[in-house]
Amino acid sequence: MNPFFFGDTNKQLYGVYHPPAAQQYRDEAVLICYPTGEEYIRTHRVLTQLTGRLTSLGFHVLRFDYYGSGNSAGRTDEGDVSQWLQDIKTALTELKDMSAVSRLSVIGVRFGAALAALASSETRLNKLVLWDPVTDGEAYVQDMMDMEQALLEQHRDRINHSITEMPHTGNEFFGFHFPDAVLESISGVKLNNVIMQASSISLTITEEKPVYKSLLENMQQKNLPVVCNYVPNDDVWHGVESLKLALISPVLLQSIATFLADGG
Amino acid sequence: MGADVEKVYTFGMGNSLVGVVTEPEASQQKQGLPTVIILNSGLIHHVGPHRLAVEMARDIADQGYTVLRFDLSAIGDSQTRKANPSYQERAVGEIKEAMDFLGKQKGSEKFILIGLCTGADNAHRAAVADERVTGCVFMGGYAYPTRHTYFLKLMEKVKKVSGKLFIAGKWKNFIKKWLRKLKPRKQVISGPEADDSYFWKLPDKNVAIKDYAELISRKVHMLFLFTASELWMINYPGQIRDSFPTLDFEDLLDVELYRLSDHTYTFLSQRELLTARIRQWLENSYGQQRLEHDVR
Repeated sequence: MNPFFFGDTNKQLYGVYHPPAAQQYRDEAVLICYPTGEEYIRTHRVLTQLTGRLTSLGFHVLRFDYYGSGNSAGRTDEGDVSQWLQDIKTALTELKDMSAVSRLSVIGVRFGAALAALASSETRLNKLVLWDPVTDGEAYVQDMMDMEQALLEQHRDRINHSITEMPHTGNEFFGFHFPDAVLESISGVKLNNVIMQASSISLTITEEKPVYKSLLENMQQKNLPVVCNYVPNDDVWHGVESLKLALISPVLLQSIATFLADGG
Repeated sequence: MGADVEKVYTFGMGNSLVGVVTEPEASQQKQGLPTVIILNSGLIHHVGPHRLAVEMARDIADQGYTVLRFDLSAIGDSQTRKANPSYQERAVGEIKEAMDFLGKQKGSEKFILIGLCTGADNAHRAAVADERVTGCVFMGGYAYPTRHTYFLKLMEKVKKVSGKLFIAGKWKNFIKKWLRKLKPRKQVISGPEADDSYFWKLPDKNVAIKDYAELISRKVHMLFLFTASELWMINYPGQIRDSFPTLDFEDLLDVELYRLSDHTYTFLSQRELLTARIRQWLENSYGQQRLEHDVR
């Protein structure tokens, strides 16, 4: 394991490179694209666990933080979709240099999956895993707004104060500040409009929703090589109570590892 | 944030621990200040809840301090170790390893520990165990109730339901119910996930008295920060001092109660108050030292 900073010195990104732990190295490296905002914190542990599974299967893995998130440079309110896409490009280049492999694959979670899909429209990938992807940025922003409002009301009840006494910027979501410009950039993301380029794509979902059915049909209509891996799990993404939950699902991790290793 | 410099290091036994050091830009660097270490909150990695540890590290570095945020073994980016002492023993040992590393790498001799939740528990234990610690920020740490604590709780309950008390025949039941609620809860504080290692238990008060006496004798500055989530165990700022009448904290004790905040300072307005308070505490506790150092 090698934690390091990379990229532009004024916008340095934090990453952790994990070399293969298996004796048989694969000619393939996997980039992990975290979700943004609060979901990044809640998925950090499970994605570290996933990394362990992948390295034991012979993959090189890079986990990294977008600009303005995690340990990377920048304030939380400074990142946006174009910056994060640039960061993914930078991270892919770094991973290819470090691992010296010929094939690159990407796992994206939630909004990280949307970003991974967008990145694949510019850089052809070997495999692409879209894990509970955000399919519509506008709906995602609305969902975050609703959850923040519910959180605020729940908090108001707990502290027994009027909501007007609780200062709130209006642009904060579970402790992360996303200015209007960032929200607009997120809102503009529609996965149905993205032309993904990968030899194989897994739509890995923990709940069956019409938006995923629609996305799958859309991808199939475009003749994209997509499979849907449905792994039922507790809903850790929606509703204010989910903010207390971390995602723990060995079955889900195994499903992703199997797809990357065997393609099925 | 100014132009702080951040570097990532692996250190400790087998280089198994991972941390990021934030240093002030060259013009902001000041000699003689303690180095600050920010500890894990439960199982959350060294970025902290809502990126709190990163924001805090950069803000403190802007005041001229060198700051390390790192992961204990088996948390975040640090590796799991095979040795199997208790979580508390392991945490104290690894905090010492962090101090040893900073001593070698940065010449640090004195340290301030900042911890939230289980981090506060670990900061307490490490501060007692290691004389290099000269300051602690305990966020949601230990608090022991006093008679005044119970009195304030009672007043709060009375205020809430005073109207109903006068409904004929019901007041006895209300009082019984409230008295039950006023009994101290089981004093176990949870970390973010249900793992025994990440729970902490309020130490016996006699142990705390001994520990604080040790810290006072070493002139360790202590800042206690509490939120609405801890009102069940502390409900007025003077409680810490009142609960240890045999100890003279002198000017080493500061306490702040953020009644509008939740346990992890989710809301930005509360985080701003928090960082400003820590900045002020650092200035009050170590600023004079810095001035004396500059004069010499």
